Amino acid sequence: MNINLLPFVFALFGLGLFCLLTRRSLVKLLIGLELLGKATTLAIIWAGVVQKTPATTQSIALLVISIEAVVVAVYLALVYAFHRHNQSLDTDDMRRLKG
Amino acid sequence: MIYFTLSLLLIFALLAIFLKDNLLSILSLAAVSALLAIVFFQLQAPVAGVFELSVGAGLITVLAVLTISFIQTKHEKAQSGALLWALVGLAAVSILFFLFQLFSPGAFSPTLAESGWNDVGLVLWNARAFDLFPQVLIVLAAILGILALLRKKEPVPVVTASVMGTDLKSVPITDVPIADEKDGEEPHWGAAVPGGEEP
Repeated sequence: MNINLLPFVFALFGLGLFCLLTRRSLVKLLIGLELLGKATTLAIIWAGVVQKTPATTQSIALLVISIEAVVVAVYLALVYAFHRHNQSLDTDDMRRLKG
Repeated sequence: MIYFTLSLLLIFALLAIFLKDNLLSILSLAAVSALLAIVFFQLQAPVAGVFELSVGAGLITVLAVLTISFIQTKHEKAQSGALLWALVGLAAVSILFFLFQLFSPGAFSPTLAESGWNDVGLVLWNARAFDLFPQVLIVLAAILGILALLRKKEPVPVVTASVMGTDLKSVPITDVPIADEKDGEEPHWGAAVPGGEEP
């Protein structure tokens, strides 16, 4: 049985893109970023299955997942700092770049 | 079976996007991570599956739930114009998918190649050992960045001295009476700007 996961990879990527484009809540933007990262990880693992190099692609996937966690941690710290100043999570309130 | 897991994953991803409650959205995202870990197991990638389960469904979910509980904002505002952006996103992803299928027509696999824990360990510590050190540096940089973002402001010291009989404890520094010694006049209230002239 032939397996093709590319439609699912692109569907997940599209959902993440849709979430990033349409939502204005910072928490929803985090979810969009996460969905993009998960689609990328799935694509990397699927590339290893297709190319018959599962060990190499798994090591790359580990790097991607750990950097994804770092990005999420810094993003959540930014969200917390922004909410402490503005009492809001709406990106429309992020008009002022001066500290 | 793998298609069923992936379909369930997409359903939870949709729930994570469209649920109004932020907490439920984060929990749906955790379910997406757990299902993705199951998919990795089904694709004979157990190391990536365990890592995704512990980091994606565990660590990231805990961090997000903690942040939401700190900021106490559970609902988001209503959005408008989502349909247009949905069409734009759908078109972009469709073009990407078409291009990918065009340039890599053999992107399907009849069989799954197996790999054990030792293979991944060998690749990580032999072939990709150089990648691990920048990764450690990235983690350290992130820790420093988070500490810098979450540090608190230093409290302003309270002035307890008195100038010309006026207690400065409850008076702002700009309202200190300034004596004009040249003219011998009574002290008046003005801005005490260091090095500046009186208005």
